[in-house]
Amino acid sequence: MNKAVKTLRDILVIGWLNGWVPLVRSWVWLVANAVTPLSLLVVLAIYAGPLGIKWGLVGGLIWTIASNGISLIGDATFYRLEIKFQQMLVAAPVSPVAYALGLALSSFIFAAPTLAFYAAYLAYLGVFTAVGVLEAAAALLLLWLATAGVGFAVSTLINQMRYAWAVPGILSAVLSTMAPVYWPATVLPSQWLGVVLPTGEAGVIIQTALGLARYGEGLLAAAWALLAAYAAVALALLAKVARWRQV
Amino acid sequence: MIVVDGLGKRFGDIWALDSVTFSVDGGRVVSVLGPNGAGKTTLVRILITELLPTKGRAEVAGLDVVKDAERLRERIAAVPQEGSPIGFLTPLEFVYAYLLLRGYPRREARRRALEALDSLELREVKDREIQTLSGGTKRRVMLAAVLAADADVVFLDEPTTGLDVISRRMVWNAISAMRDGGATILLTTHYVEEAQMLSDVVVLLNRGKVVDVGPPGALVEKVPGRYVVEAYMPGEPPIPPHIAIGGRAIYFVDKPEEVAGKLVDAGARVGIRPKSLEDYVILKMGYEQGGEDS
Repeated sequence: MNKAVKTLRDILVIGWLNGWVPLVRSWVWLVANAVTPLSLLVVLAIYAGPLGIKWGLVGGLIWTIASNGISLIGDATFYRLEIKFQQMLVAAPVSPVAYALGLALSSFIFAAPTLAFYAAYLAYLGVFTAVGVLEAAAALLLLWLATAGVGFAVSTLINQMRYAWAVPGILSAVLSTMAPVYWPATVLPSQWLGVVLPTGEAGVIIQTALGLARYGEGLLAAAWALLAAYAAVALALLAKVARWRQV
Repeated sequence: MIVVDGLGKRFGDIWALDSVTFSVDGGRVVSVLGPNGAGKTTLVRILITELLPTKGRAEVAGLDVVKDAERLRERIAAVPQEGSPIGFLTPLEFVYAYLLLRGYPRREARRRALEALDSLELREVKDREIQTLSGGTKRRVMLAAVLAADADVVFLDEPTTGLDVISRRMVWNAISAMRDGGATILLTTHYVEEAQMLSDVVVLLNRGKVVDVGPPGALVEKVPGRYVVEAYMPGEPPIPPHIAIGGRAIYFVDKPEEVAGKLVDAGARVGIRPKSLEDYVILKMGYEQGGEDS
């Protein structure tokens, strides 16, 4: 079998076993993934009405992608430390990059129903344009790569299972509240602070693409460049740390 | 099939493995015995290409574990120590997914998975979630995966630890089936009788070094006498033992009745048995760890 085809197949198999199977077997995972952004959506809808709903939906899209990428820390650490599934795959013709991307795909599968709900609601509210949808999708894809890469890299540094459950919660909270995800970058002392974190970059891009906020050309260009750079660095990091061999 | 030459692994200042050398032909079962911390798992981790050695070299299936790691991974399979299958999958899904990841086509993977589950008597539970199964059954699911993989060399790191007597025998059957299929199997275990029964070669490790290598029968012959008298008594035994472990005295003798009689007279609880591989391990480990009194 061609190496590229084998890698793609391995990604799909790991996505199936770690994403699709648990999702269809227990809806609690889906609810667990959706509950936080849904809560924020309800709060925003109550306090800010229809406009709050739009902010809540856009923020929910970004939060869901970012938190699912980061949640890969838990799975990767569990498979390495707790049940030694990773060790079983070391002694098998599976590439470490395929394994890491497969776990990332499985986290995306968990997020997919929630994302579909938010996207459908945004479409219903009439905020989508053809260009806006493409820009938002591209930004979310880059955000997914960036957070999944960081998630896998961080998982390799964890040597005790209990930290694998704590660290994603902290990272998700930082990424979703310290960056303009649910609010505009204009509230910051300098809008440039809004594009420090990848979630903020995605926020600036998607808020602009869907007409929720207006930012300068320079800030928008910087958001795209930095988000692409985050994704590239995260993938490079993933390729570097996702090695089976330990020294 | 497995050649280990001067292999060493250092963690900080400690040599977990030091100058380990042995070789095993293809189609054999080799058991690695030794106390906790002897270096058994470190050896396995190097041989399955997970850990880089600090010194020395090793070949598995004719491939260098460092230089040819990628090619080697196509020919080996492993059940890690304390490993467990993924809980929310069923046994069939787990074995099937493992075979897909090893490159088998879907139909072939399913056929092999069902066959392996059958041979480990897991057909009835094949569609139940693994997290509802007992520890022994989970272990058999792991074994089914590597059995179905049809690898040239299989590494089993303490595959029977914590299993009941029936489950252990099912694992033994799987090991025998893999060997009958032509696979070379490296097994680490604390159960010496298991090693004696299953192995063609035993490697005895202690503190990272090879204490002895050989067929189980040849190692047993190194134990003096034909019988073992094992006695427990709180005080000083009337006859100096070959090995003393706390208040337990062990004697290797040809005529056990005479020694046993004296020990019984002194108030000891005494057992007599033919010598076995376990006695060789006790003999070597007893001396190695300074446990002998004689």
